[in-house]
Amino acid sequence: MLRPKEAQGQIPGQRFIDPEVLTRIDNLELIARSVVDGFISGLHQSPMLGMSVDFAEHRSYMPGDDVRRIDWRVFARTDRLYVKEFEADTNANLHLLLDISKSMDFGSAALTKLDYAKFLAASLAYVSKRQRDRIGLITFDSKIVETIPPSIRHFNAVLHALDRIEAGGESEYHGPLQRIGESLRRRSLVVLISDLYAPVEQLLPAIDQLRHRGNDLIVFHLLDPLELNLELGDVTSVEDLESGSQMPIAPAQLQQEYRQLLQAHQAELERRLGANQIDYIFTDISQPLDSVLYRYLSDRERQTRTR
Amino acid sequence: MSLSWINPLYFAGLSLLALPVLIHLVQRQQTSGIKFPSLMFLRQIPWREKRRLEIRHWLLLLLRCLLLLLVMFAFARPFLSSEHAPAILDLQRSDSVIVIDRSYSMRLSDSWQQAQQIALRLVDEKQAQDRIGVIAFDDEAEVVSDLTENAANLRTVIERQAPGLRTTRLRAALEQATRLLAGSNAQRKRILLVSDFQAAGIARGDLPLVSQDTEIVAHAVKLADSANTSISAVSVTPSADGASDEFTLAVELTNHSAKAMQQRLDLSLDGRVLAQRELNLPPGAVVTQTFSGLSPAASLVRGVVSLADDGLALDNHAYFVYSKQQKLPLLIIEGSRPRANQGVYLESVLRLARDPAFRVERRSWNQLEVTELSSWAVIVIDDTTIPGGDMGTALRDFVAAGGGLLVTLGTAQQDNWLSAGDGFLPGKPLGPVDARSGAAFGIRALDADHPLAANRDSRYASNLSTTSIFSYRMLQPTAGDRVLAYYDDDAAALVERQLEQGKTLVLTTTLDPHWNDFALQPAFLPFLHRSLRYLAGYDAYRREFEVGDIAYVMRYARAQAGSDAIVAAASAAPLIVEAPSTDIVRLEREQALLPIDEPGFYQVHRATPAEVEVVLAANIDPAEANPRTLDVARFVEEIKASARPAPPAEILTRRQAADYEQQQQLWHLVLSAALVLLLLEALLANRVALNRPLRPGVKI
Repeated sequence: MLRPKEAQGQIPGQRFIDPEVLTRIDNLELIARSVVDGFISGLHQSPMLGMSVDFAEHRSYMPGDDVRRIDWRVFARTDRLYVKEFEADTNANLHLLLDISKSMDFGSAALTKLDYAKFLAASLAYVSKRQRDRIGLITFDSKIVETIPPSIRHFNAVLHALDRIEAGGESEYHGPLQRIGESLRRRSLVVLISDLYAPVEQLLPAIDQLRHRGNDLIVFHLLDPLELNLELGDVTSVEDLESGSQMPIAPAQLQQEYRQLLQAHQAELERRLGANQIDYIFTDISQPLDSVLYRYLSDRERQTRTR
Repeated sequence: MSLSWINPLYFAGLSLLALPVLIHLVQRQQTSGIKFPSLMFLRQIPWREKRRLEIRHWLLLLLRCLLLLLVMFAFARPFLSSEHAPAILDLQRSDSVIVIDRSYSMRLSDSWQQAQQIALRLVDEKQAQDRIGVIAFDDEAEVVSDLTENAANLRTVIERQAPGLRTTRLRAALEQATRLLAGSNAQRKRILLVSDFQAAGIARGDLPLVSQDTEIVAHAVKLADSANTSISAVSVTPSADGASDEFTLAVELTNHSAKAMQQRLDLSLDGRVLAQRELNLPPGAVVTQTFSGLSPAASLVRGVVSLADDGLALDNHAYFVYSKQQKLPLLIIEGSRPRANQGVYLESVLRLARDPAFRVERRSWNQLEVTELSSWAVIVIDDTTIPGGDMGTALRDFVAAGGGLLVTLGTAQQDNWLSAGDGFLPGKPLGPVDARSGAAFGIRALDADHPLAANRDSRYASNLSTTSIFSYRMLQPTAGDRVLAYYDDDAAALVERQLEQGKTLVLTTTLDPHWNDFALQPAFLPFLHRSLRYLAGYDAYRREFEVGDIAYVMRYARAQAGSDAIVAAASAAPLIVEAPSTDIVRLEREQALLPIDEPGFYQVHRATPAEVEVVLAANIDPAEANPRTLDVARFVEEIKASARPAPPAEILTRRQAADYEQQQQLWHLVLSAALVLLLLEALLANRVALNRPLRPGVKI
């Protein structure tokens, strides 16, 4: 059970890092470490730890350790509480799928969605590295742009790849995700980071292709506050970032309907993805990245315990 | 205290207020599109037309407008001025007023051309920053140009003037010039007087009041010795016995030149020449010619006496009007049994009246019909009862329609006074009051403000006090009554009441020596003459006017007719006036003032029927023909001597003026407020700009 503050996405005594601060750090590893180390100690256990079977050693029980891991036999013999430590295993693949289409290159504040996605991916890669998972990265727009296969040694390669990313062309989900799905050989944790600008009916079949072989799928839906509110002031026309097509608008008049459509889109995604056992995390990129990660990871930890 | 502006022209910049509005509209129009990640949702919203020309950021717009307004307000240099605010002395400038004489006498020889040349020269000599105003005067002073630096305008104004027909009044002109200069803040103020300086232009001791800070410079035109004779007076005298209509005409002729003149004098009546006389007029001579035994062919005669034309033509003609004896109809009402000699004194006095003469009838109430009352101009009720019933009502209507009523109180009982009074009789008569032990009452002087007393020949009024009153009837004045004279014991002696167009006078004692010795006093005759003229509305009836006078035509219509029937007709229809130049002037009842602008005959008649009611004769003021001039230097000195001191506290030196301006720093405050607004505007504009969405991909 989460404490109230945790439920609100806050760690007691912890101040989250403003996304703007992250933009001043040009080292992705440092960004990831700053983001992750800040809150990871607050978690009971890395929520992404795989369950290894190779016993390593006993160590004294510390408050906060999972009671299920107490070796009761040792307790019976020694009358002391010991916890079994297992040899960590490279037991899982983490596939980071990053949408680098042109629409991701938008941000009304310090960060664009693509920047945020890079930081998010780097942070997740760092968390996985800490628990010795294999890390891979695939970037795509209407096609697959770059692929780094998962490996325990590919953390730096992933970071370098993330660092080099530049926004590409128009987004297309079905083709690239189908190819990615086909390329996944082992059961993996697949993280899709995108703004998901496509009708739900097109998105779901595309995303669903990633779930075969029992892949665990997490979808981060990134949106800028301006996209959420359409507070465009006295703007009279908008141009599509990807297609370049323009249309005249009167933001004040369109705001309400726009928001309703967007909220309906989110709700539909959440409902349909949830129904398919896919985690859907909606992310406002004005929110601190560590707060988003913490909220998600603590939620995932809770789910792991209850499973 | 009022708000004034030093540079009000800056308010023309108010049109700039359109600028921010335009900017707000144009800015809105020019706002380009921005790049947006996806139009997926926007395309799903049905397009609706939206008005593009819409002003956004009202607060900002308001702020910008206010800012502009304040800046203009400050540049217009507002300052608080009060009536007592001192003028700021301008050391660089001089203000002058050219006062140019355009009276009739300026027509003599080349006087007017000289005057115009002098005035134009004065304009040419002025410095660029100097201001000049122009006043043209005769008996009135007209500001034809305010103080201005524009020499071209001044020249035009001066060249447009011409000499008129009126008389000279220097005082009016100089005082008007003083008023024009009163608002000037120039260090040097001058009145430049251009005139022939006729001696008749100013009465002795009637000096104009000018300010001591004003310099008076006289520019006299040079009078050539132009031969001029004039008719300086005409007098018409009816025959002494009053029985015939014949009259005598006396004409006074003056030779104003320094040499003897041969002249021919013509007399014509109604356009027919009756007499011609050849005359030899010595230099400076005043000669009187008499024409006696003149008999008018009609009841109204228009007469002209003329001399041959000379230097000044119009003063060689004199117009006069003679009408057959105008006798005002007057009715004396006595009791059925009058005292012995009761009306003798009254009738004797009336018989002596000349202007006007009275046509007197004596009757008692029972000899009178109700409808007859309107035939008389004045009714005297001499110590008899006021009638009641229809006659009482008719008497009231008579007064209301403009008739005059004189009531004397004596032994007769006034039982109908209240019932018949109904507003046309003053007060309430009570019982008689007798003097005790032989000490008679006197009458105190007449009310000095009343027309009966306000007369140049009002000496008779004071003589009323010599009258001995043995008895009088007590009259208690009521509201609306005016007591014109009191007895020694403060009881009312003479009371007036006005009802609509008519008047009633009540003398609370008798007109015969029954109760007093008034009839034996010298004041008796002038008192009665003036009272009856006053009651008849006759006192202002003049037939001869001078150019420049104003005639009240309605009064003549009333007086000449001597009957209220004419008054009623005249009041219903407008009067038509034919001027000598045959111009037709239509006079409404409310505006029956006729300006006399030219010499000749003015004929006044009603629109229908077009019969002539009144003829007025208008002549040039004979004084204008007199070329005798003032000693100009002495005249100017006398004016200077009597000049009022200029209030010294109201004129400031340059340094004081600077200090004074320092005090008028309202515009500093306004400019400071504008600066604060500018700051606010910048902040607000910045905020508005920050709230605009960024271009995609742009990082701060």
